[in-house]
Amino acid sequence: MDEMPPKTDAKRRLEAAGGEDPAVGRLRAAPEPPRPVLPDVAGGDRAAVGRCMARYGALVWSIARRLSPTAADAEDATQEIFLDLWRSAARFDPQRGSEAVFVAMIARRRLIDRLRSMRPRLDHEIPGLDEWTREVPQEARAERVAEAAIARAALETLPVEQRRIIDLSIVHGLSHSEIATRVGMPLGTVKTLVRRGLIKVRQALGVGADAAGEEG
Amino acid sequence: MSLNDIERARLLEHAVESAVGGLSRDEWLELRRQVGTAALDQDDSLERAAAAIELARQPKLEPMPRQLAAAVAADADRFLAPRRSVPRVVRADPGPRWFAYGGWIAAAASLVAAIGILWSDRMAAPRPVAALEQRSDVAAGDDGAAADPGLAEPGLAEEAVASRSAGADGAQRRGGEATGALAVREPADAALERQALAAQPFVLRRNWVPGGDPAGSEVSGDVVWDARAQAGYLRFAGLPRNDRAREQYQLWIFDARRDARYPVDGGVFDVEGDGETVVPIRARLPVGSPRMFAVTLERAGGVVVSDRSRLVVVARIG
Repeated sequence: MDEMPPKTDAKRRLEAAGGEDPAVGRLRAAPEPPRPVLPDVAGGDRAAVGRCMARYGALVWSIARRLSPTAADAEDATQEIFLDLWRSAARFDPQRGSEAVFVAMIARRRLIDRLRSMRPRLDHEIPGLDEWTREVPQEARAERVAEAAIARAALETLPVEQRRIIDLSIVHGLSHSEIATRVGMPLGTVKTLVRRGLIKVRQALGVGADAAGEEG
Repeated sequence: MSLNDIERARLLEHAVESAVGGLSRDEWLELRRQVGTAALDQDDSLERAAAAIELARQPKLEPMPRQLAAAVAADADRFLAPRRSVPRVVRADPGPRWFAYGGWIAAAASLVAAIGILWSDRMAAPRPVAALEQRSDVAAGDDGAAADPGLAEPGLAEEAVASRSAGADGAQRRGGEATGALAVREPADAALERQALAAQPFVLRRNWVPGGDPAGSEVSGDVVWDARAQAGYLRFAGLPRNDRAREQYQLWIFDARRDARYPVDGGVFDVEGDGETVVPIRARLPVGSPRMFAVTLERAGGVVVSDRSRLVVVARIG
């Protein structure tokens, strides 16, 4: 029988509040996530690699597809991300957060790095952006990850325009200057809105040095 | 050195921009120089927050393309290979994109046309000796925990990796072996199991025809394939012994549902006796609709890309 996965801070907060986290409003506790696979990957278990791909393949591919200008770029990026994941599997600490967030973080790092390299030639041409910026359905499947539910609740306390800017920045990978051009806002305002939004989510998650509030 | 408020604010701004990809490469490198790589790596809270937003705002999940999943799996094999004690690794890699499927078909078609002979499947009584190499990871066959219902998309990526476990499961069901680096079949078992499978009405069965290499000139036998179980057997008579330290036979399966340039690697095997050889098929990926089975002679351990210079036998479907 699988041992129970360690509880994350976010999970503890939800449970302590009986499914209601005063920092983010009423929430139902997310289902217990499956036992992490990355520790087994770090141990060289090839079967765990298969489980990891089965569990996170669609997530990584979907992020890569969205943050890459072409399908070919997304394919290259996906291969690089999984190699990064195998290399960094030993660094996954279930006490610090869920495995899904760790995987998404590794994926984003790689994709952001690639975007940095190619940004001068991207020039706003991210295909399908308008379609992507529509509102996300409430029952988004990834919300089963506790941190995702907390992040969503925190974002919903922000004005619609700020949420849109955060989407353009974090979900669609536009640079601040690209966002400023697109939404017709001063660059400094865009930076401030993104910064405050991100910090708000970080506070809600209860992670980082500014959990007490550097800026809100 | 303590930071003043202005420096702290500027640092925070840069850390946020780093987490969302808002920094140029030069700015990013400058930030790492200022703060130190270790410090940035230690405090990844903003990146975690961005990742949580990513998960919360994920519009939809799209299954990974089948070929990409195969490539990722092959990368994982290569990455993990040095950690294991398996001396030779049979790759599931579909091969680089310059793999010329057209050449395969053309070679097989011309041979079939030129020879015009269907080989008899009348075989001598089984005297098989065969060993099909199998990776230890395949042999493990552990499905482990269920996929996260919130993130997993039952798509091709899962299929690609699941097939390996399924292969091992099948092997365990059939013979209870496959626990080590090599899955060596008991000859009598393999022959009997092949016979039982071949008697089923739903299985595919085709005779071998020579592929042009001298090693295949005297070969008879067939391939039987059960699409539902994703399992089957190769049977050969007259296939010469190989020096496994130098070269091995390798099976390729061409699947009509896959990109024509990437045949499925069916693994390598050895012929150790002079009689009939029966080899269980362990396809590295699911085979939807096989078009052709081909056996080549390759260097020991098999290859990712075959130059088809030693095409031993082929069995075309349809």
